[in-house]
Amino acid sequence: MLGHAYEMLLAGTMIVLGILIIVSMIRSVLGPGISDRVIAVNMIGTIIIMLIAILSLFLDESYLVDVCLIYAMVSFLGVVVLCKVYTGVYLQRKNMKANLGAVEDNLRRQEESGNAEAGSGETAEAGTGEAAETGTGETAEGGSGEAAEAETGETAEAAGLPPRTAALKTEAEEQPKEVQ
Amino acid sequence: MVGEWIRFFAVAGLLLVGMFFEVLAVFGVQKFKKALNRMHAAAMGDTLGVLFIFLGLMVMRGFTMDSLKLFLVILFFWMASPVSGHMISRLEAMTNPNLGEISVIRMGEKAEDAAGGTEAEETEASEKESPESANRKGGCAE
Repeated sequence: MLGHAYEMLLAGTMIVLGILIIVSMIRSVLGPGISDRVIAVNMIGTIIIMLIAILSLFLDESYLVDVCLIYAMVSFLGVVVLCKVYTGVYLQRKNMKANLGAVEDNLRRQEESGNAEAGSGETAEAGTGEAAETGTGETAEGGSGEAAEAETGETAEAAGLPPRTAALKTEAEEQPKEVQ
Repeated sequence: MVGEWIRFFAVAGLLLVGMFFEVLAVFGVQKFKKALNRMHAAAMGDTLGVLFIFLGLMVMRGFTMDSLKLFLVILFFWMASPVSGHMISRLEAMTNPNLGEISVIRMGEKAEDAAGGTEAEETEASEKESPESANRKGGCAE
């Protein structure tokens, strides 16, 4: 009677956890961005940790707890490596450095592509100590490329060139304005 | 005999509480629209879900070596999950072009207000720190 009750409890828990894994897989396919997918995969890994531990009690095999511990370590390692690699690749493609100033640079880029005002010139110039590490030239290049596309009427000319060439061209134009 | 049934109901209660938190976590990940909010729901729900389910399994096993190994899994997961959550949040903050408004706080830098943004840099009690150690506070990007 008691054994039967335990079996039903553990089996019901495992079924519910399986349904949660399927729902998380839907999110990992749908999620509109890399971070959503990585979050879903991390959550699937955590639910699998719980599932292996419950299975070890259900089948009364004690070595599955060791498997659970090793799987926790491997899943953590995988998520950390994936995040570092993707951050490095993305920022390298945008020609910026993946150091501590990258969050502020991302915010600055987002502001400058959002509002097409004259304030973008001083935001690109007034850099922090960390922005000086990446080089003010890179920040000005990333910022002024989008600022030029947003505010001036040279969108046709800037769009005809590849993005990096357009950014270099506008940086060459705005360089005397930056370095005072 | 009664003790066995008390143990069964304790295990059932702990497992159900753990399942409740995990269902809330998955529901939160589905319902939110921004990745940083989803990360918050996933991290909180996963932490508590793992704690309660593993506590239930430990009560079921009693005071044996298996319970110690389950406790080691909880310990490792509580150390490792905040690190991976932080890495995912940094991935989101560094690479998302439509991030919205967030606050960035760093110690040891001058206070600066970006135009219309929410960058805030605090300098409290960190003037004595060298610039290298202040820069290293944010993470391990080097």
